Amino acid sequence: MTEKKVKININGEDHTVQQGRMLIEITDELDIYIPRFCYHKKLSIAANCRMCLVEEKNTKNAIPACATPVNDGMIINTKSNNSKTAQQATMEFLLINHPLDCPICDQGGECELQDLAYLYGKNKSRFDIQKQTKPNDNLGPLISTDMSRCIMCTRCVRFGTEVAGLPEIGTMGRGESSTISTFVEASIDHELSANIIDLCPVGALNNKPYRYTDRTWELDQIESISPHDCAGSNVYLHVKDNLIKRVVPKLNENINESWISDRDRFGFAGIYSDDRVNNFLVRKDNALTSVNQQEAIKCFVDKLQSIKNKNTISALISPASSFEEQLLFSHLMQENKVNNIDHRINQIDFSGDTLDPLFPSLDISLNEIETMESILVIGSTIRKEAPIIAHWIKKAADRKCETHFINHSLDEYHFPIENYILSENSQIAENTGLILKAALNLTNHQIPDHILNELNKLNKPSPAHIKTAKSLIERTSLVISGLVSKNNNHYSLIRSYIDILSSITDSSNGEVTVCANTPGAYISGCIPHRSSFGRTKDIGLNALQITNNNNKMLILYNIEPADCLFGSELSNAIESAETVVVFTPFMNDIFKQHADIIIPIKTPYESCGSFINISGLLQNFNHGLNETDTLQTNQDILFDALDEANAKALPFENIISKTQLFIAESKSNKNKNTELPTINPILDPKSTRNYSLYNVDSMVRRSKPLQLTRESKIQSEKK
Amino acid sequence: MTEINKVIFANHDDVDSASIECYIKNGGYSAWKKIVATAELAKTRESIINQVKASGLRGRGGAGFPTGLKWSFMPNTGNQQYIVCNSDESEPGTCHDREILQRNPHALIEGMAIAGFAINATVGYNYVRGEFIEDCYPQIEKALKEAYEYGFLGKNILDSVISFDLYNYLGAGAYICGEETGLLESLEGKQGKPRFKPPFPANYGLYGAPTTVNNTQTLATIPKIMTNGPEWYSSMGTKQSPGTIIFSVSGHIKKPGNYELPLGISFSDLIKISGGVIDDKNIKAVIPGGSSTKVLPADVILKCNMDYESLEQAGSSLGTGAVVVMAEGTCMVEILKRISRFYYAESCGQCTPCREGTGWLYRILDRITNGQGNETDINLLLDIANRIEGNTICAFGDASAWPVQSFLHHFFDEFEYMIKNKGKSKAA
Amino acid sequence: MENTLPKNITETIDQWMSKFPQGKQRSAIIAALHAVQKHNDGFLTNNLMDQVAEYINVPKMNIYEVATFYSMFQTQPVGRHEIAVCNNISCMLRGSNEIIDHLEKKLNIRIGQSTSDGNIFLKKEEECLAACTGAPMMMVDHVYIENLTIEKVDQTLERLKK
Repeated sequence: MTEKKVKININGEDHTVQQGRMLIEITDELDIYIPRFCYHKKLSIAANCRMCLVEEKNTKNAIPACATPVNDGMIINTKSNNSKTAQQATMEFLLINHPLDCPICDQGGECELQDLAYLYGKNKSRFDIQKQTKPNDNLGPLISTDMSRCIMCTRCVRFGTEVAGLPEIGTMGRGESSTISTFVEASIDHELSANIIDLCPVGALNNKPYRYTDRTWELDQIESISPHDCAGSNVYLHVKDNLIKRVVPKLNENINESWISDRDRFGFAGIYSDDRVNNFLVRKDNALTSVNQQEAIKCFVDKLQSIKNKNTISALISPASSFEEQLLFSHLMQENKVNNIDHRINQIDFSGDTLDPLFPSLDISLNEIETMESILVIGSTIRKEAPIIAHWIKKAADRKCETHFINHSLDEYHFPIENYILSENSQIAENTGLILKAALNLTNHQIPDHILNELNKLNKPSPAHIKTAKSLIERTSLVISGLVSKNNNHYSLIRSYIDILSSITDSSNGEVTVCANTPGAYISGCIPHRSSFGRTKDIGLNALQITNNNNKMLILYNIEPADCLFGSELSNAIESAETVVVFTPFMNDIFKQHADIIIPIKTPYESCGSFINISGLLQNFNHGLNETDTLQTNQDILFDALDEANAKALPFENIISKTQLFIAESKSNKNKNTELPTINPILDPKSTRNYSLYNVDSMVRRSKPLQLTRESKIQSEKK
Repeated sequence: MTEINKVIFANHDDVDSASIECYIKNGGYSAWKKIVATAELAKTRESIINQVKASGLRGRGGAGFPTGLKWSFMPNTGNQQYIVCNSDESEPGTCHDREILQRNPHALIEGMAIAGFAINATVGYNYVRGEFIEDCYPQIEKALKEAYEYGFLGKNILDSVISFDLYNYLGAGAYICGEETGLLESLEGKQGKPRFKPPFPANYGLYGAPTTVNNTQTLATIPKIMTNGPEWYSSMGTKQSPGTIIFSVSGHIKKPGNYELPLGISFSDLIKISGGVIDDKNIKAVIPGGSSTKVLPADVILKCNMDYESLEQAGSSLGTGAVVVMAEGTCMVEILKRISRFYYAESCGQCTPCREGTGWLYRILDRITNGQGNETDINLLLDIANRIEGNTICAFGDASAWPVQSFLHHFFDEFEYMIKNKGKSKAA
Repeated sequence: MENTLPKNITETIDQWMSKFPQGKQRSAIIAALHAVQKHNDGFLTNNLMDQVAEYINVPKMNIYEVATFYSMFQTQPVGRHEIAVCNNISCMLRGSNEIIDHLEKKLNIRIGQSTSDGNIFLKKEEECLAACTGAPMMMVDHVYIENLTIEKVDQTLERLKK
C-alpha cells in the first residue's frame, strides 16, 4: 500500500485519502453507508453480490465500492439515481428466487437481506415463474441449512478457507444451480465453524439448537465474557425471561475480533442441564435434606470453626470462578486459618512453586501474537485448549511467521509448520532443554554454572532443536506452553527452561491456562503458598497433596472430579473426608452420595463478576444484569459466610482498580525467572487429561449440542 | 479477387502443413532464430513490440484490443512472468482456432515464443478447451514435442541466453474459461470464475505474476509479421482494421468454412466466397462475430464491410469473426431462446445479476415459445437485459444481454406475434 | 488413505504436476480428473476424487468444486461411451434438433440419460463445440464427427455396439 494521498469527492464533499484503499473501507469510516452482502472486513474481497454498486462520474458503468481502489479525481455519488438503479437491480435479482420465508425464518428481524430489501426492493415482484430450490446438507448439530435462501455471497466458504484454514464447505456446480455444500455427507467440525452463522447475511445458515425458539426482537442483550478458556472472548448473551437463548460474539479487535469458538457459542446450554442444584442441601440421617440458605451456611461455618487442627481442612476452588468469588473464598479461608487452599487441579508437579510468577500470563496481548515472526508452542493441543489463541497463531503463520511445536500428539494445523518435534510426554522437558542448550550455543549467553551443569547432562541438541533455537533468536518470537505442559510431571522444569530460553532469545513468553480465570486465582490467593496480591502466608498443601490428606473437612468450590487431572484421587478424597462441603451449580453421583453440605451457586453467565484473561486484562461480565435485577450473585453467599464466621470485612470497593494497578505493576516489574526447580523425585506421570474441546468444564460437559458433535463422539469412543 | 489464406493458412494446401518440416520449409522459425541470436536483448524486445504495434494487429479473441499496446503494459519485474494463449475457442459460431491447432500449430508455438521473449515471460501456457482432447490437442502436443526436439524451446535456445518453456493445458468444458481471468483461475486448478478487475493480469495474473493472455489467432499471426514485416501486414485490411482475419462462416450457407481474408472485405463478397445462401434463399439476419455480438438484419449488414469500424457503426461488432447466416424462414424467437439458454447454462454463477438474470431471461423466452407469453414480457426481457448489462464482474453479463436487446430491437414483431398467437411462429 | 490409483494414472499426474512451478501443483487437478475419469469408463466416484486430492496433496473440497463446475466431468454413473450432439446456433440452423430426436428414439432414452445396458451416455451439450463449419456435428468419446446425416449417426451407433 502506497503512502500517496489522493483527493476524491464523495456525495459532494472532498476527502483526502490513501491511494489504493477500497472505496467501501473509506465510506465505512466516514459513516456513509453503502449497502453490501458479500463484503466483510475480515474476509477477502469477492465483489460478487453487486449490491455495493455506486456511480462514479468518469466511469460508464456503476463501480463496486468493495473492489474499487480509490484514485485521484474520483467523483462518487452513493445516492444518485444511477447508484440507486444499480442497487435496486441487484436487489430485484436477489429476490426472484429467494423464498418468501420470513415468517418461518429465524433470521427475520436480524436479516441483512430483509433490511436492504426494505430500502431497495420493489413492493411488487415481476417474477411469476417457479422459484428455484436447493437441497440442504446436514452440517452437524450446530449449524442448520436452508440453502434455498442462500444468495451465494460465499462469506461462509471464504471463512473456511481463510480464517479456519480448512475448506469444509465449497461452491459446487455452476450458474444458477451452484450451491454451497460439503458435496459428500460430512459435518462441519472446525472449532470456529459456527461463526458462519453470524456471517451468513440471510437465513441459509442458522443456529440449529436455537431454531424456532425465539424472535430476535424479544431478546435482551447482556455484555459478557466466555468462561471456558483464558482468552477472555467477549460475547453477548441474548436473554429472554431470565433464560439465555443464545450467545453471539462481541467485537473486540484485541482479543477475539468478530469471532468466538463453537465452545463459547454453545457451552451455555449446559446451564439448563437436568442435574442443576437449586436448593441448599444438608445431609441429615444420611439423606440430603433441603434447608434454607441461612441454615446451610451456619452449618458450614460452625463445622468449619469447630475443627481445631486447621491442617485437616482443605479447600479447592475452580479457576473458572469469577475473581470476586475467588477473593472472597480465599479471604474466608484465610480468616479461618485454613492454609490448604488451591485451584491447580490440573497440575501434579509443584516443585516450582517458589519460582511462580505473581500470576501466569502472556507477555503480550492476544492481537500482538499476529505480529510475531517465530512462535514455539510447547506441550499444548492449543486448538482445543484455546481456539481463539490458536486462531491468532494461524494469523501469524499466514504472515509467514515460523511455527514450531513440541507435543506428545501430532496435531493438525491448517497452516505451514516449520518444525514439529513429536515427543513422548516424559521427554517434553528434555526437548525444551535441548532447544535451550542449542540457543546457548548459538548466543554465547552466560548462565549460572549449576544450570549449565544440569543442561550438560542432556544429550546433544539435534538439527531440529538447533533450527527452532535459531528461529527464536533471529526473529521476533514468542514461546508459549499449554495444558499438556501443565499436566506434565516435569511441569516446573519445562516452565523454568522456557523462562531461561525466552530471556536468552529475547522472546515474549506465556502460559495458556485452563478456564477463564487462572490469573485471578493466583492474584486472589487461591494458592497454598501465597496470599492475595502476592503477600506471604503460612504455606499449606497443594491440590495433589490435598487429595492425599486426611481431611476432616474438604471444601470444593465449583469443582467436580471430571475437572481434575487426578480425578480418581479427588474422588477418593471426597469419599474419605469426614465432611464434604460443595458449592456447585450441578449435582453428580459422588456429591449425591458423599457431600454433606451442598450450596447451590450460579454459573458465571447467571451471575456477574470479573475474569482476568491470559494477558492480564481484567474484564467485567454481566454487569448489565446487575442493573436490571435484584440479582443474587454468588458473592452474596460468600459475604453471608464471612458474616457468619465473624470474619474481618474484605474491603471490596475499589477492588477492581486496585487489582488492575497490581497487574500493571507486576507486568512492568516482571523479572523473568532464571532458576531451575528443585527436582521432585517421585511423581507418577498422569496420562494427560483428554483435551477434548467439549470436556473442559462442567458447563460445556453438559451442553447437549456440543456433546452431539463429531469431536465429542470421537472423544467418547476413545475412553 | 481478394487475397485468401495468406497468413496463418498460407500452407493449408499442404497435407503435411502441421509438421515442423513443412513449417520450416516455408520460412517458419526463421524469425525466432533471428531473435534468439540477438546480442541486444532489451533493444530487440522493444523492436518486436514496436513492430507489432506498427502492424496494427488487434486481438482476435473478440475484444479487438491492439496487441502491441497490450504487450507494452507488461512490467519487467525480474521475477517470473507468463504468456498465456487462450485456445479455449467456445464462442458460438467460431471454429477457426481449431483449424490453426490442427493445421498450423507451429505458427502458434513460434508466436508464443516471440511474444514470451518480448514481454519477459520465460514460461508460456497454451490453454486448450477440454473438448479438443482427442481432436486437435494431440496435434498441438506433437508439434510442441517437435519444437523441443529441434531445439527451438527450452533452456538456452540454440546456444543463446534465451530460455522459453511452453506447456499445453487442457480445460474441461466451461465457456467462461474463455474470459481471460476465468482462464487464469482454471489454469491454477480452480473453478473458472473470472476475477474482478483491477488488478489486471499484467499486474496480477497467473499465480499472481504479471501475465499477458492472447488469443490463438493473434499469436499465430506474429511469426509472419516478424518475417514479412509490419508494413506487409498492414498493407492488407483497412486503416483502423489492418491485416487479415479468419472468418468462420456457418449457418444457412452453401460452403461453410474458415476463410482467412483481409479485413474490410464487404459482407456480400464474403457471402460469395462462402458459396451463397443455401437454396439461394434471401438472408434474413446475420450474427457477425459470434453469439455475443448483436444480430443485424439483412438490410443493415448487406451495407457493411467486415471490419471493426463498419460493424460498430452498424450497431454490432466484429467479435471473433464468426459469421452465422440465417436465411428467410428462420424463427428469430427460437434462435434467441437457444442463445439465451446457452448463457444461462454457461454462467459461472458468481455474481447476482448474471446468475439470476440469465435464468429469468431464458424462462420467459421458453414460455413465450410454449404459448404462455404475456404482453408485458417484451418490456420485461429488455429491462432484465438492461439491468444485467454493466453490473457484472465480467463481460459475460453484457454478452448475455446484447442478444436479447438486439433481437428485440430488430425483430420485435416476431416476438409480439408469437405472444399474441400463443406460440405460433411468424417466420414459419 | 491407501492410494489405489493405478501406476499409469499416477505417472500421468506426475507428468502434469511437473509442468507447474513448485507449490502450484493444484493446477494438475483438471488433467488428473480427466485421466481418472477415462480410466473409470466415463465418470468420477467420490473415492477416486479423494484419491486424487490425496495424491496431489490438496484439500478434497478443491477437487469436488472442480469436478462439479466443469461439464466434461460426470460425478454420477453414466454410460461408457459419450455421445454429445452440438445443438448451438450454427448446428441448430443445420438440423441438430432432428439428430437429437433420432438418437433419443433409437436409444430409447431422453437427452442427458444413459442406456440401460450402460453402453451409451447421451450427454446434454450446451456449448458450441467449435466445429460450426461442419454442422451438424457430434462428439463420440470426444472424437469429432462432422457433417452428420442420419446414416452417419446410425453407422456410429452400430460401431459402438461392439
